[in-house]
Amino acid sequence: MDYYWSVEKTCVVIDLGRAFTKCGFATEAAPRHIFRTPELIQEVKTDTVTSTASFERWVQVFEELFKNVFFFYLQANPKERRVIICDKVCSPRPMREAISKVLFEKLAVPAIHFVPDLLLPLYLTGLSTGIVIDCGYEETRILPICECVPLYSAFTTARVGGRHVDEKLREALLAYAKENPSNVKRPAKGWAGRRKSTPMSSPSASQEEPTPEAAEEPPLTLTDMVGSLDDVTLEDIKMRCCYVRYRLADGGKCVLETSKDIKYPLHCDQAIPIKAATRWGVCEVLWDESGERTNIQEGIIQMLEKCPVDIRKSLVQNIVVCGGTASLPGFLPRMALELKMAFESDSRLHHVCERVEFSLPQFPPASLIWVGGAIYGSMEGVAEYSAAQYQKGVKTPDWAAFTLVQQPVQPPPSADSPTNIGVPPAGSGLAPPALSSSPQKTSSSLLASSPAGGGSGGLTLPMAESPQGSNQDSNVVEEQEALPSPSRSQETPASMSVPSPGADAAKADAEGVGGGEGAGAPSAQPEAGRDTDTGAEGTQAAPAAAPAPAAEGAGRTGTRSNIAPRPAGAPSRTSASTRSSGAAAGRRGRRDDATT
Amino acid sequence: MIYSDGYAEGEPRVEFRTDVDDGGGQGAGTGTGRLFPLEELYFCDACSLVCSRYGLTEEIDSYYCPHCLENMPSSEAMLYLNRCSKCFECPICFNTLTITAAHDGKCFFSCQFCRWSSGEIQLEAEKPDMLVAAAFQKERDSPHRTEMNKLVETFRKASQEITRERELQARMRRRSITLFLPATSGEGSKRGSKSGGGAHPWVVEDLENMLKDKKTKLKTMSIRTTTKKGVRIESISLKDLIAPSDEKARSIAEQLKSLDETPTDTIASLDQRTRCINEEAHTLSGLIPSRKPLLTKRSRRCRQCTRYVVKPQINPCSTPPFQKQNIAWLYVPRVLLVHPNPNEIGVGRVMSVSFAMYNPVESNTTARFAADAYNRNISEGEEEEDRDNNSSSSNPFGYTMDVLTEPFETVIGPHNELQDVHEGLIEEDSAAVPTDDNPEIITERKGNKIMVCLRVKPHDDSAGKEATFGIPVELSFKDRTMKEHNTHIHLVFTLGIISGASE
Repeated sequence: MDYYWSVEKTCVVIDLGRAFTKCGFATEAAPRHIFRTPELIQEVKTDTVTSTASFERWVQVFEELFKNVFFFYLQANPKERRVIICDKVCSPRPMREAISKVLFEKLAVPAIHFVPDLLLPLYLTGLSTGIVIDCGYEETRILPICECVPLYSAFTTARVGGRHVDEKLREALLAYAKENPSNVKRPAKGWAGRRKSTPMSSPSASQEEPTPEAAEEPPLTLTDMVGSLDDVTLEDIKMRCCYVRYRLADGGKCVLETSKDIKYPLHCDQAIPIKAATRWGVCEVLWDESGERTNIQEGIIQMLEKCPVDIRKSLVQNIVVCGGTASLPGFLPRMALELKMAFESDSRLHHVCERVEFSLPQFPPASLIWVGGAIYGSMEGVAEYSAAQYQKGVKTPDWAAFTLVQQPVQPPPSADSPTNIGVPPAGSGLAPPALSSSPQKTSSSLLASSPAGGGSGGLTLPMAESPQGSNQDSNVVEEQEALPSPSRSQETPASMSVPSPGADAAKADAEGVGGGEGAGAPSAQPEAGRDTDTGAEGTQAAPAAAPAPAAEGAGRTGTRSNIAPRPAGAPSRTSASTRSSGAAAGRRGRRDDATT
Repeated sequence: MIYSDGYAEGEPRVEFRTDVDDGGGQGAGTGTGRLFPLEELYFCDACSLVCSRYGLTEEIDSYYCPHCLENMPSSEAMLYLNRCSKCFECPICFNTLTITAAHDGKCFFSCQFCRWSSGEIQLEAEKPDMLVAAAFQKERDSPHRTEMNKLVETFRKASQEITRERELQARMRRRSITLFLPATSGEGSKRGSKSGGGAHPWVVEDLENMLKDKKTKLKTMSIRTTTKKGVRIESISLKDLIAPSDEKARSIAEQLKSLDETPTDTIASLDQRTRCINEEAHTLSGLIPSRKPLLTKRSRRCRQCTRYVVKPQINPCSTPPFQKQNIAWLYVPRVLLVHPNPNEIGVGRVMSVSFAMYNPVESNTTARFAADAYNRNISEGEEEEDRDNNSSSSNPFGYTMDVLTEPFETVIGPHNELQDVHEGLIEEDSAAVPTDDNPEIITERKGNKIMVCLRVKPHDDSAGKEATFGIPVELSFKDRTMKEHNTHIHLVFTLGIISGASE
């Protein structure tokens, strides 16, 4: 085992998309292989059903899938590769647990990183604030991220995606076929079949043969042919023939619209006629104003409305569009046009419009998430869920656990906890981090605990609560246990109720970027300021491995530590952070002190 | 990677059930196990276990190119991104390209299947090896690659810095306690020191000034100024994006031109695009050839005893191709089902099922058939009373037929490679095989083959379902090294669809 640790090999990065799975190695510019996602993963979430599969079924699916990924596609030894799973924000828990089970038990990987996928494209922009729009197959997901903190409270999905375009395309083709009934040639018999039936010696036979056969079979109508199209072909038609129409406001010069009907050749002598209007018409479902479903621009508006007022202007300055559907020709200009109209009709967001800016990473939208994962995998000290943790029974990290274990607000604990007299209890966020006697040990504990706190979303909470968590430093454990339990339980609601704006304000403040005048500034401000200071000095404990986009800020302020995937305003709450100060929780604790 | 892709419902077949989860954890998560045809199973001769690919761990032994059959060490394979260093694939039809020389002596890649030629993308060279080098260079110099290297470098440095800083801070912790204390007691804060003076306490005016500052800043602030150093990212504002200009008109006109072409002639398909995703090619002319992906030779070990079950030779051209290949086909009797008449399968009808068994090992194989192990009813007589409490424990796999034949034991003769040649010439060695067969069960016997006939009856309530029954069989035999094996297999027969009541 030691061998595997000493020879550091790049991680394997897997992005399980609804339509296509991308897999490859960290630090590379493109996924090594892109293949269709097995059906079960696709069918997980439909309009009505959230999860259809049991844990056992997931295990079967993933065992097959990951074996293929490791041995067939990537040809890597799983025992020496950490795995980064670009995790859907709402993926079902049994699925995640099945992933851990298969990877740890069957393939014996050393560690897994579950990273919320929507944060990853931000790495490519070099900014820690922005909006990520993932226009995928099943739906469009929109997530704002402010100073590395994903605002899950404003997470919005628009129920339009590639699948809906496919459906419209099928409808349109069928409708056309019914209006213009015609017969098409049957596909020519396969070469093999022809050869079988005609002996080599009599070439003439092959010419006579088709006639009687054609007479026997009923003619093939266009309707039949269109009806029998499979999803893969349909998707190919979409990619090859369809585009998103747009018309810039200059009266006809800049218009992406063609009046040309084209034929999509199916086999050698069959073709599906596609009307010019169909070619752009089917994509209109993405911007559909009928109100049947949320369209993309409405989704963005809704998301912005859920965001705190004071960060909206920052957010819109960095919009990243990813997902396969976004690679349709004309997608981005059309989205900009629709967005402009939507902003103009909304009086409250009107002023934001002029600040809107799209980032254009070099990489194609379909692989943006994966490439972000590849960057994440190249960094040091990122949070991980290791095999040892799995064996100890630490639960699979899951940001959703954060809301699940939410507890009612309780009065703040009294300042003097039994053990630390004169030092505020950890729950209040100001407990000095350095209680352990040996610096070496502490640092190691920090590193050790970073996995739990770090990288992925709310994984922190469940970890901190399970006694065997990742606290390898016994001091940490003791301290935690010594705390009156309310101190911990009150953090959750506190941080929930004062979501990011505060924290962001604090950070923004420290950087002089501003952006935090909401959140009841006057009273919060000094605290926020102080908070940052504490951060700057000790810090801490802020656990993690600052992955990412945030990395930049972290360098400066120190607190920012864990960047990426924290649920809104949730401080990462590892043991370590409990002591030092999860930003929000700490603030809350202090504010309570002040008021009393 | 070629596995049977399932059967049609009711297709007559014999399968082997493995990985049954009996609490031992072997097939954990699979409940009633999985069904495989014999061809897909392995036999671990160390622990005498028939196992499926799920009961084995895999390891990659060597890499080779499927086209030039050259063996590549793993370090080299990693360097070449698990692709062949010499063979290239057609970007259109994914067949292997050949290098062709034109009349003027220029070499280029050409596809023998779809007639694509690399001249179309200006990939030509004087000599074949220069051509390969040029293609390589093209891959290496891709702007995405350089961009990615820059990004990775930037973020890796940042993360290293943070890690270092965190370690440092951890060492400083003891000192930091003292720094915290004034902050908590409200005596002052470092904020003051930042804004100019020493450790002043907070003053309301400070605060108001700060807020004012912020308000003005907010109006002009651009988060782009905070872009990480070393990351150069293009962006376009919404206004610019939708502002008409001549340049845009031109690019749109170009796009329209490609949209007007016949799709399959010029527009890349989804598969073609995903192969070279970074090119973002909309048209075929944007595609570039990629190197041929390598294949691997893998060894498999038993999960229980961690000994090799399959071990290939390193070289792809060596014969025999395997050092060790314990596939179940060479150990476990093969079962051949005589397809029953589908009309005979009906509720309440007793029918007979015949199947042949071939012994592949060169010793006698003793087979004990626990024929009635999974019967729903204890016996025919008690059928009426027993129907209600047919416990699922006696039929955990959901079989729809009962086996009326009693449990029996038989011996199958040894396999002899010369058997067919010598047939009729030599007296069959009948001494080794007992001949006191029950002619109703073992209907025929010859050399290493026996013909078995069973009587089965569908359950009364199973009309319309698949007719299935299962029989656990205990086997004992000796392998080539005369090692004695005792193993069990679980045969699952599927006969067809049970038709409705026929009485």
